[in-house]
Amino acid sequence: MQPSTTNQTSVFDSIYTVSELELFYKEVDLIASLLFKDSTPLETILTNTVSTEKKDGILSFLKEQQANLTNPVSIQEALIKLKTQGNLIPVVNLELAFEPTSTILKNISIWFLRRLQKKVLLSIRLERQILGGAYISFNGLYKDYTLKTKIDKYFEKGTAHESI
Amino acid sequence: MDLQNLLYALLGLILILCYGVLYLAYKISKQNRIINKPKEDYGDSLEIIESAQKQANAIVEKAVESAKHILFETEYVKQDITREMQDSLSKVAEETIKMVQGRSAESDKEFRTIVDEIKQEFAKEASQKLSAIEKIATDETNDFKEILRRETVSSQAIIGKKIGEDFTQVQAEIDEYKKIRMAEVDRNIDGIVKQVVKDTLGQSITLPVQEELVLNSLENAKKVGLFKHLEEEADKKPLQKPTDFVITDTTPKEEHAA
Repeated sequence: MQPSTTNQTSVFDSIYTVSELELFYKEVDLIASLLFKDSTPLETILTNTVSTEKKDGILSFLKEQQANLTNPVSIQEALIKLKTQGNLIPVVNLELAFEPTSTILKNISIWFLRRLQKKVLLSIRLERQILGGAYISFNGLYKDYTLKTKIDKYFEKGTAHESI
Repeated sequence: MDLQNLLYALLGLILILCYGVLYLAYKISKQNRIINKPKEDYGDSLEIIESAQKQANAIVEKAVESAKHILFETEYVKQDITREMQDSLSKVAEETIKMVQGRSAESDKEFRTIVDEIKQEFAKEASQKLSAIEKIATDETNDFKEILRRETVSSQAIIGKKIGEDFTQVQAEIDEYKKIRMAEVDRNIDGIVKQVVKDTLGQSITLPVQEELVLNSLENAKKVGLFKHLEEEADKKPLQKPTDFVITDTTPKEEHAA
C-alpha cells in the first residue's frame, strides 16, 4: 500500500527524519491510549498531545479513512493505518559532517519533493571527519560525495594533478 | 777492670738487642704495608668503576633528553609551519569550497596551483626546520665529545674507553633516529599538507556552505541515477499537489523526466 499523497502533505509534511517519525509514532500511541482512558473528546486529546499541524493532519486522515470519531476502536484502527503509511515512506541515509538545523533538514526534504516528486525520510548520521558534502545511501546503493574523499583522491600518489 | 769489661759486654748486648728489635719492627711494618696495599688498590678500582657508571648514566640520560628534544622539535615543525602558512591555507579552503560548489571553472586549476605552492613552501620550511634540528643534534654531539675529552684526560683509561663506547653507540643511535625522522618527514610532506588542508577546511566551512554542498551532492547523486527507484515510482504516481509544500530552496529547477 502506497501512502496517500494528499495525506503525506498533511500528516507527514512536517516530519523530515526517521527520528522525528519515531517521535510522532509515540505521540500516536499516546493518543490511542488516552482514547480508552476517559471520555475526553478526540479533538481535546489531539490539542494536548500534538502540534496544530499534526492535529489537522490526523483529523484529515481519520476523515479520509471514514473513521467514527466517537468510537475509540475505529479511531485506533485508523491510527494503525496511519503508522503503516508512515512506514512506507522511503528512507534516504545521509552521512554529514555537521549537525543539520531543522531548516536545513526541511530544505533537504524539499529538494526531494521538488526534484524527485517524492516524500522521503532522512536518516542522518554525523561524521565530522568527512569535512563536507555527503555520503548518500539509498535502496542498497551508495555514493560518496564527501569532501574528505575528494581531498584524499587529490593527494593520492601519482594522481595529484587529477581534477578534484 | 773486670767490672769495666762486663759493662762493655752488657752494653754491646743491649745494642745488639736494640738492633734486633728495630729490625723486627721494620720487618713487621714492611709486611703490613704489603698486606694493606691490595685493599687500597681495590678501593681505587671501586671508585673508578663507580665514576665510570655515573658518567655512562649521565651520557645515556643526555642522549635520551637529546632524542626527546629532536622529537619535540620535529612535531613542532607542523604546528609552526601551519601557523606561518595560515593565509595560504585559508586560500586553499576558499578555493576548495568554490571548486566543489562549481562556482568557477578556473577553481580546480587555482586549487592545484595553491596546493602545489603550499607543498613547495612546506617542503622548504620543513627543510629549514630540520636543519635547525640537525644543528641542535650536532651541538649536543659536540658536548659529548667535550665530556669525553675531559674525562679521558682526567680519569683512568678504563673510563675513557667506557665513555668512548657509550658515546659511539649513542651517536650512532641519534644519527639513525635523525635519518629516519628526516626521511619520514620528507616522505610525508604530502600527508602533512593534506592533513593541514583538511584541518583548515574543517574549521572554515560555514553552515550555509555545508548545506549547499549537501544539496550539490544530492544533485550529483540524482544525475548518476542513485534515486532511479524513486524517480520511477514518482513517474508511476506523481504528487498530486506539489505546490502544497512550502518551497524555500534555491536549487536550480529542472524539468522532471517523464
